[in-house]
Amino acid sequence: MKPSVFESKRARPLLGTTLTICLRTDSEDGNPLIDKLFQRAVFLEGLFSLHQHQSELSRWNRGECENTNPLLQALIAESLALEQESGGAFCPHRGKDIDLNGIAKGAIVDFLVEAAEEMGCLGGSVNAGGDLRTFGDFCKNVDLRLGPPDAPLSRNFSPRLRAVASSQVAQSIYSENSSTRYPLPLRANLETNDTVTVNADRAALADALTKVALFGEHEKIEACAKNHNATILIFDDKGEPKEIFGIR
Amino acid sequence: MSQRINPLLLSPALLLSLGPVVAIEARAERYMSENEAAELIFPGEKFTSQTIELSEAEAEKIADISGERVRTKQVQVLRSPKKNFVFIDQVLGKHEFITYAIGIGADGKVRGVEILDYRESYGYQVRNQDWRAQFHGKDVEAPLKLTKDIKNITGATLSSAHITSGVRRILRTYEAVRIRI
Repeated sequence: MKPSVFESKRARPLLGTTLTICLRTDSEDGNPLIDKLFQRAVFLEGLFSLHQHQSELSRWNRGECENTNPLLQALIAESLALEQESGGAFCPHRGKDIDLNGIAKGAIVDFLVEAAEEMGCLGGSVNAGGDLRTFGDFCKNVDLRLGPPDAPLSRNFSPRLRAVASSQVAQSIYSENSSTRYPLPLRANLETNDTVTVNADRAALADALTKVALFGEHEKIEACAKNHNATILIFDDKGEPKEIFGIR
Repeated sequence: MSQRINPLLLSPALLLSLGPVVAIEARAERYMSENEAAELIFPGEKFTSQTIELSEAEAEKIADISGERVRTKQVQVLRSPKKNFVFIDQVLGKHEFITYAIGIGADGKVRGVEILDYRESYGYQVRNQDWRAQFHGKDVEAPLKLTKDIKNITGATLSSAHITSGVRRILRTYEAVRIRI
């Protein structure tokens, strides 16, 4: 008997990482839908990326945009609001420019999930370098990658909400040569091989709240997590939870 | 020194949501075959596969211009009657080995990049031998055992930087060998 549900999965180097899209459809070939989602990701990167000289964000920073795309406007507004709410721990600035590096990947994941749902997909997942969101009829369990980069650990997590983002402390340390280049010092209680994991209802929020957890003050982290119905877990180098914020 | 939280502070639901900690020895994921990638990048076209051997001079020139070391002089390429090409390449990170396909049109422009599969390994055996040596040439003598299907992975994942460098090298390779293919 022919199956009525098909699963397609592909990965491409995009958004400075690996973008993996998995779709469950009632069509044997989900690839045309995945093609459209990859194209949408390229378009969205062209809006939000500060790395592209001619992106809409870069042109907006230079004062060259007359009619700014509403998606960009909304993301800038959300970023500035979160900056205020977090006491500056979420920092959407690089010098005098607005920099959406701390939220854009998650936002793109959300837009792709919404697009997939509009296309009638039964379920699936979009994963941009570990910022991921599942939707519909699709396994929402997540494999957390924890511990030292050279000897990683794995822990299955059954999240309450569909979006999960993780940041490893070792890869968040400010350096002129690092891709992060986040301009704030790490929170004192964190150690090199700790991992921050955020569970939220949107990937943009999960992405941004990892920065709040890495760089914010304890009270601000707790307030932000609770306010957004999120759970923030900090795991130590043995993969054990050492801190928890928000919804327990 | 880090302090672990008292597990009693976690709600029962959250405690139950976390499985046991397991060391990652090896992982592999396969997305598609070479022919499937060719079909996706150039729909409807038929491809024949060939392996080209770069000369020492060609390899040096490619490395020089692209800034990327040529790890193997054997280049696998699929060719269509319309002179569209799909190069199959591998890139190595510290622990990752990624196979990907890059489609280059008859006009020399990149038409698409698809990841075919990746493997990563952190095992004891790997730490005590030249990990890269097992991937010299096309044949892999001891393929890593596939782990159980893991759908969603968060945390540090594959960087695209190696693939980006690989694409740069393959474009130079294409220029070097286009007459021969």
